[in-house]
Amino acid sequence: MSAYSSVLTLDPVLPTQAATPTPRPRRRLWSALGRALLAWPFPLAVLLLWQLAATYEWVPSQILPSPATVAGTFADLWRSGELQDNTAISLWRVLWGFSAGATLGFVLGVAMGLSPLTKDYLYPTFKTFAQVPALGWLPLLMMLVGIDEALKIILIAKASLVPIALNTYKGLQNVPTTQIELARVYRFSRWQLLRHVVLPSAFPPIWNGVRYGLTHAWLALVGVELLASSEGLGFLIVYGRQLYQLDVVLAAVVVVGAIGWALDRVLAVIEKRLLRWRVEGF
Amino acid sequence: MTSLTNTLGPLPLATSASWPARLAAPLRRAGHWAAGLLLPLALFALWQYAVDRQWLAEQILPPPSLVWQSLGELWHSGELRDHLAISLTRVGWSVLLGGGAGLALGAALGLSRSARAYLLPSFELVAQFPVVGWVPLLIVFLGIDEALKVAAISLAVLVPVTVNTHRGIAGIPRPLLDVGRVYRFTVPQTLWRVVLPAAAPSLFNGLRQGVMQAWLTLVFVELLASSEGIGYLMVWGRQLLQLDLVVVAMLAIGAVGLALDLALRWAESRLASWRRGAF
Repeated sequence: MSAYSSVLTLDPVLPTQAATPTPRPRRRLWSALGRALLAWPFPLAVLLLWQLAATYEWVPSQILPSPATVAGTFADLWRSGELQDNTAISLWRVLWGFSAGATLGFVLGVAMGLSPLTKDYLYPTFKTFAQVPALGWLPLLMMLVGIDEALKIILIAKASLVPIALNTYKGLQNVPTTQIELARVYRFSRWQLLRHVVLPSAFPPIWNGVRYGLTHAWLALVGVELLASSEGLGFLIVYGRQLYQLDVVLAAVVVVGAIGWALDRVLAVIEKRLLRWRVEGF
Repeated sequence: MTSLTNTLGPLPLATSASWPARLAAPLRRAGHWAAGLLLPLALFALWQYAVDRQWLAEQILPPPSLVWQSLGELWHSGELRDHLAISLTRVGWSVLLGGGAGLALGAALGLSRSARAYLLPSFELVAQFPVVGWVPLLIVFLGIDEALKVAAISLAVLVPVTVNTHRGIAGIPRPLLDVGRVYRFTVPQTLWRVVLPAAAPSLFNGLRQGVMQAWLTLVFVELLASSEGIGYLMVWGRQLLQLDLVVVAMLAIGAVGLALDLALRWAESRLASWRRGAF
């Protein structure tokens, strides 16, 4: 029953209680600490289970290496520079593919959002094009451009283009009518209208699209490197699996997850900064 | 949108002043349609022209007629339907498993403060890893049989369903729950009459994202390790250098993706109208 307390049972909030600003800082610190501590039992239990499974060899050690082995492999890969090299290659591909895809997607989204004529011509084709997932283009592109860098960059660009174009378009479409009417009352020029009304209002959805785009780009990169590559993080995973070195696979998977998380965090921080500027600007 | 249009430029096809008003609207809609068809037709013409002029070897760029013919043959022989049925079965099971688990996990995270404290940080960490990264690991544990595909696709469904369920429940406005308390709803009543309807749009959003992710992951898993299914058809076509098969498979993938999206949207609008009717 206490499990439902957060949503279902409402504490009788008396006016005096509501008026009390915040609990004393020490109590807040304790509850924050408590919450931070509660996050640990579950992952620790999983880790313990893993360690037990490795120690008592419930699963052959080729299939499930012990946590210590994985950590050791990670350190080895790091020291030999293999990990950094492959990560750098992967990041380079994402950088190129994402820049190309984001630029194209933004231009496409703006064109479709601002000009109904362009939208009429392009939108149905764009929707059809977007229906096939990025990795579905892989076999066809392999034939057309080979399995070199071009393949990876085109696929990553496609993966990031779709969400960015779609969100830019939707963001521009959903600019509130009242704001545009107000701007017309002030006799804003078209440039002023774009700069002071349309762009600030459409920014959050556009940035959302950028974040989705980067996530998709990272996903497409790992996919394409798993399927067709001879270097990069995805290849490290394939290579580890083929040699039955699961410790290499696990180490590479951890790096893939960490970088995906870091990329998203960076964009979130940038968003906060940009939005702060926006609030100050008005 | 209309006022953005008015401000930034006149409607291109709004030359209806001279026509009777009744005719103008359908004609304009037909004009929109025709405009949308122009680009695909141009691309199609370019494709045909490239084949005629033999810009690329015929093995690499098959003529449209050949693709059309292969589509017909694959359809009549039942091969395409078989592959699609296999792929859709995989997606169906995974949506059921992953969606069910995601719903349970998301509900637990949304309703219980202790579940949130224990599980949410771990879940957020795990959700960061792209599903395709898990696949090589899953291959080692599960082999390359059905279990692998269903497990990988289920993972892909689980994450968006959990996130959206959790957010949907956590975002229920306090006043709604207050009203429930005024009516002295029991916990099941609160869940059924307040929480579920209030969180329904978010749940549906999660389901739609989940199904789209499932379709994407299916294609990837079948490209990587499969001996049947629509993704395998592509791999097979590429290995035989029969690009018409690859294009047919891509068309099928796009069509099914579109159909899934439309079906879910339709179901959502149906359910939403039922929801409004019930209150």
